[in-house]
Parts: sequence; C-alpha cells; structure tokens
Amino acid sequence: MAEFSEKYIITDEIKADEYLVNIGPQHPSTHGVLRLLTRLEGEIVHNVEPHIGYIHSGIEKMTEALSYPQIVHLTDRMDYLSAHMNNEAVCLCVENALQVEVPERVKYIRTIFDELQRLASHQLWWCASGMDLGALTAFFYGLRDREDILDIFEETCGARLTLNYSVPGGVMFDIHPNFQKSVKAFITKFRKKLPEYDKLLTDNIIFQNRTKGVGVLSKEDAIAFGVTGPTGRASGFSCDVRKHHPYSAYPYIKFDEKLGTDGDSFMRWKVRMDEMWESMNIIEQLIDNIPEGDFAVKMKGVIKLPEGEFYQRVESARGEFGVYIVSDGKKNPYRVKFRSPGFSNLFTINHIAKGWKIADLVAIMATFDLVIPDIDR
Amino acid sequence: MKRGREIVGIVGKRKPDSVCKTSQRFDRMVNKKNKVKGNKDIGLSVTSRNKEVNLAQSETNQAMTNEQLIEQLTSANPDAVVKQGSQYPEITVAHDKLHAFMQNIKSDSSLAFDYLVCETGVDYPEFIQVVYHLESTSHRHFMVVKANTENRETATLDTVSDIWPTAEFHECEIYDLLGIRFNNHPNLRRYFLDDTWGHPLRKDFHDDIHVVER
Amino acid sequence: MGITSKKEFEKNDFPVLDSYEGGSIILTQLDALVNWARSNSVWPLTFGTRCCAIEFMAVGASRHDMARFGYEVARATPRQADMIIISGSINYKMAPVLKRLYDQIADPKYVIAMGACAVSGGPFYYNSYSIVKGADHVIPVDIYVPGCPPRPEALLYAFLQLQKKIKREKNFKKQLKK
Ligand code: SF4
Repeated sequence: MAEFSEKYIITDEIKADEYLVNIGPQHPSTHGVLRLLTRLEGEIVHNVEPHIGYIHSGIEKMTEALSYPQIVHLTDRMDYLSAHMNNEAVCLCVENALQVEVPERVKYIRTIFDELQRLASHQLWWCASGMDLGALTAFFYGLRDREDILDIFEETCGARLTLNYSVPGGVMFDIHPNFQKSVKAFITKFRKKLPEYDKLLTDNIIFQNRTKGVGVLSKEDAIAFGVTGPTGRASGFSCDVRKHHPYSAYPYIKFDEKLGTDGDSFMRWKVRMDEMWESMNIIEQLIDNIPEGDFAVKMKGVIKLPEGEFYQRVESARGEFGVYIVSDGKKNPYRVKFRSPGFSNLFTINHIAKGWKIADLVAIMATFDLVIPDIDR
Repeated sequence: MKRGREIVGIVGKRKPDSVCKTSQRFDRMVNKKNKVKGNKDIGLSVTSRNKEVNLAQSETNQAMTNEQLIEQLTSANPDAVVKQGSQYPEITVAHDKLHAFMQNIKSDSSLAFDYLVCETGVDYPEFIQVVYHLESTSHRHFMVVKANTENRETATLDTVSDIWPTAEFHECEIYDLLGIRFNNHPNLRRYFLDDTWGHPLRKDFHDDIHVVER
Repeated sequence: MGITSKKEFEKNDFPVLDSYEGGSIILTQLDALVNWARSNSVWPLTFGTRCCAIEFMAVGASRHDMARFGYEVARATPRQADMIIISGSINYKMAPVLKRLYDQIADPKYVIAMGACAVSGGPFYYNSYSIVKGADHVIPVDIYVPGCPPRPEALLYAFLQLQKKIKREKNFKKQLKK
C-alpha cells in the first residue's frame, strides 16, 4: 500500500536536498508529449509543474480562415480518441445557431456512434494505463477488442480513427446495411470480454494496492478545478452533460450516471469500467429502434451563421467538451474556442500528487486519461 | 476472484468501514439491477447513492428562470449591461468591478456559480473581451459574464483565479494567445509559445516565416 | 552444384552451395550478411505526438503485430532504438527535442515519417503558426507514409520498404576501395 507522507508537503523555495527531475516531453507514461517538471526529495514528489505546448498547433487560429463544414474536420485532430463527439459538438452548435432540426434517424445514429467511440476510447485507456502500471498483457487485450469497433466504423464511414462522419445537418452517409448486425454481434462478444478485463486488473491485488487511496481528489476540488468526465465523477461531482443538458438521442433513453465516492485512482478506474457497461446498455436501447428517414437535411451550399455567440457542450470520453463560436455573419467564424476537458483536468495534478511517491504519480496520470493534443489544441 | 476480494478486505485498510456499511444497501440494489441487465458488478462501491442525494437536492433547489436570474443580477449591479435575445443569460461588467461581481455571484447562495466551465478571450477592434461561462452545480443554471479591457495596447484585467482555481490556467492560456495581463495572478507564464512570439490570436498577428497563408 | 546465376543470387541473399549431413555451405558477401541481420532487427522508438501514434500502437498490437517483420518491440529510450517513426505533427517547440532524440540514436539509424503531418504538415499546412511543415525540415527521413492517419497496412508496407532499403546498403565496399 502506497504511503502518503503529509509531513513532506512543502511548496515554495527549493531546499538543499531537493532536486528537479524532468519527465518528458518524450516519455511513455505521459501519453504523448507532455513535460512534467517535478521537484523531488528522494522519491517523494514535492511539486509538479506541467509544461505543455509541445504539440500546440493553433487550431483556433486556423478555424478563423475556414468555413464551418471545414472546421468539423479539424476537430477530430484534437481529441482523436473521441473524434466523433468533437465533430458532433461543432455540428450541433451550427445547427442550433441556424435552428435546423435534424431528422430523428440522425440523432440515433450519432448517439450510437458516440457510445461506440466512448467504448473504443475507454478500451484504449484501459490498455495504456495497464501498461503504465506494468501490465503489458493489458495492451494486447485492449487493442484486440478495440479493433472490432474500428471495423464497425470502417464499414460505415471508411475511417478507423478520424471519423469525420458528422456534418452540419446530419451525417455524411447512411449507415451500412450490416451496421445493426455487427454492432449487436460486437456487444454480445464484448459483454463476455469485459469480465476478463476485471479479472486481469481490477480484481488484481497488486493493482489495487497501487491505486487504492492514491491521489485523492475531493468533490469540492473537482468542482473548483473544473474537473469533468469520469475523473470528476469519481469524486462525486455530477457533471455528465448527457444527463444535465441532453442532446441528440440522450433524452429518449434511460441510463445511470456513474458516480464514485472516494475520488482516488481506483475509483477513477472503476467509474470508467462501469461506464463501459453503461455505454453498452445505451447502444442496446437504441440499436433496434433506429427510425427510418433521411440521414441528413439539405443545408445551403455556403453556411453562414447569424451574428452572435453560440456555445455547445457535449460529453466526450474525457469530460465536458465545449465549442464557443463568435460569428459576425460571414462564412468564416470570427473566433472559435474549444473548451477541452483535458486542459482543466491536467492542472489538478500538482494539487493531488504532492506528497506521493513518483511511482504513484504515474498511477495518477494513468487514471486521468489525458490526450495531449486535446490539451494543447 | 472471491479469494482476491477477501485478501483485499485485509490489506485494503484505507477504506473506512463505515463507508462500506452505509453503502451496502445501495450496493445490493445496484447488484440486483445489474443482474437483471446481465451486468456483473465488480469490486467496491460505485453506488447510485450520491446520485439520489444530488437529484433530491436539485429538486428542492428550484432552478431560477433566466429572467429571474437577470433580474436579481441587475438589481444588485445596476450599471451592468444585459444583452437581450442571446442563447444564455449574458451580462457585461465594467473591468474595475469584475472581481467584486465574480466574488458575489459565487458566494451568494441563491446564485452559487461554483463551476467555471470555460474562460476565453476575443479580440475586437477597440478592446479585448474576456468571456466567462459559469454554471452552478447546485441550481444548474448557466450564465455568461463578459468583461472588456480598457484598450488593446495595455490590456489588463483582474484575475479570478482566487475565486475559481481553474481560472489560473485558463488565464495563462489567454495571456499566451491574446496578451491580456491579469493583475494579482500567482504565476503568469506562457504555456504554448515563448517570448519571441507575438500573440497569435490577435487579429493583427502576422508572421511571414512560420505561416503559409491561404 | 555450381555457383548460382546472378539473378538467383539477387533473389535469395544466401545461395546454398552444397548440403552435407549436419550442415551446408553458404557463399555470400559480407555486406549481404550484415544487412540481413540489420534489416531483420530494427527496433523503433516509442515516439508519438498526435493521432497517428494510436495507429502505430495498433500496428504493435495483436491484430497487425509488427514483430512479425523483426520490428520486435518499441523501446522507450533512443539509446536502445534503431529507428524513429515520427507519428504525428512536429511543432517549433518540439523540433529541438526531436533533433536531440535523433542524435542520441546510435548509427545506423532510420526514420519513417508517418502521416500527412510528418510528411508535409498535412492538415496544418495552411494558416497554422506553430507546426513545422514536414519533419524533414528537422531530421532526414527515409520513408514517407501518406495518409491521415495511414492504415496499419500502409505502415507495415513502409516497414518492408525500409528493409529493402537497408538490404541495398554498402557497408564494406567503400572502405576496401580506400
Ligand atoms: S497525419 Fe492526420 S492522423 Fe496523422 S497525426 Fe497528422 S492529423 Fe493526426
């Protein structure tokens, strides 16, 4: 059991027996190009300062020269593991601004894709964080099952990762005739596979000892730091956008918002595992009832938003994703801001990792599920 | 697997017993529910307990309508400008009153905006505007607050990072990309670029070396 | 058995001259032997910046399994690696880091630019102020793989092309001439 050493928490000036260790920007446990400047005494972390910007690409500036349908295709390069949710956010924002009502069929298809994408993202998180904690088998198990979802994506929209499936007004093409069949087959299969995941890691005593009680984030802190998604929900912060501000087909279905109690690394883990069950329940409620109809409404060739400001929030796999568009009535936006969940989540790391050992810092990072281009944009 | 859990019971001493006991009932409920759905419940307690409490709370705290919200805000701050016909209630505050206003809407229990969703800046020809998207986690209402800097050259504004800690990092980002300096900010540094760069999100940013324009 | 024809020699690296019980004689060039060994044990560095890194992970995992071709495991330190797969975009802050990683790899070293970003800047070519327009502005690139992201099969094809390239190398001839 990892020990929390409270007496070592000292913040400000660097003492004689402290030293600085630089983790990253190229380090496997930072899940990308994040740099953590840690101040240690022995193995104990005194301070963590995240340095970002190693993959900053100026997407917000780029959007100012693009038209709205073009912006959609840039968004899945940010949080590529929840590509479809990002696409959907921009589409919903544009549709709301123009007051276009999309067909029911589109809503159902988008929601099913959301949940499939969430499953794929959590699977990847599971295998990557298992790898961080020293279980290489997880890597192979997780990616093996993820390929099945990618096959479904590929069948319908031709892409595996960067889907580009949503467009303002609907989806790009209709679903593949086999779509329902293969989704159902996948769910039956994955319901059997998921207990394997638990057997391998969740019930594993070594794993539990490394994560239980480590890196506790209280509910008040989660709200104050704006920590959303499974990470925030593990602390008991009810922040599910699907529940509180439902969009697409979420108003029609019943599902539980999984809330944790203690907010430690194990609870963050557990909430994500439970969300996978919940996602499958959501898909099962929708998959047989996809209504007939068009898969898109006809939009104008050149989409111009009315003057004003529009904000749309969706629940991506990492938390609340927001799009803020300021329009001056032209075909390009005046300013676009993407509120990325990772940005807010990352900066709590200093708050909760202080006093833990450096190996616990890796466990905390693993359960935060960070995607760096999402933070840097 | 059962054996594994027993061992955990001994080693996992970090979990106070009281929590386990109170959540047992709910655990059982969740288990039952999950069994019906064919789920398998694993490990400890992700319960629906909190959710019930939260729902109960939000039911008792009847959310204000947007009109009531604006009325309450304008009666307290008569010189704030309210924009009509926007997606969410939207209010513009003078830059010297910003900090007091923000403090007030967070601590006032009928408003209780405790969750800063998003903070961002927009560059306009005469001033730079900072936009705060705020939500109350107890009442679930949503509001947009705006503050303009005096001019574009010496753009300064008071920080709100002492009210919402998350603002500290959003403000660093705004400083980096738009060049607004925040007074009293604990650690204002550039996140993405270094000091040789201008502020790229300003409309007059030009860079012939790095940018291929189209 | 006599000496094999040139054509046959090119087809197989090691023509078998004669077989006896308990062993056989192989006649080959030193270059071919070294390149054969090198090309079948190229270990990549775990280096991923953007979305393409996920496809790179997929190539390493069960279905596609790059270990079949001798790209056995991805190493986390450049000192144990033979090649970099630049999977994702490089920006001006990252470019010096990439250069340093490349310098730390022991010779001979190879670079695969994976994805449109690493090839030319890709989706971030126009109007982006911080992306380097192609990783070959920073370090020399051996193989370019287009796509956004390239399919795993495309990366596997790039691996095979790199092996072909390694097999054509001349390590000893030049030195003898000198
Ligand atoms: S080429 Fe496309 S998929 Fe690959 S890193 Fe660049 S944006 Fe991502």
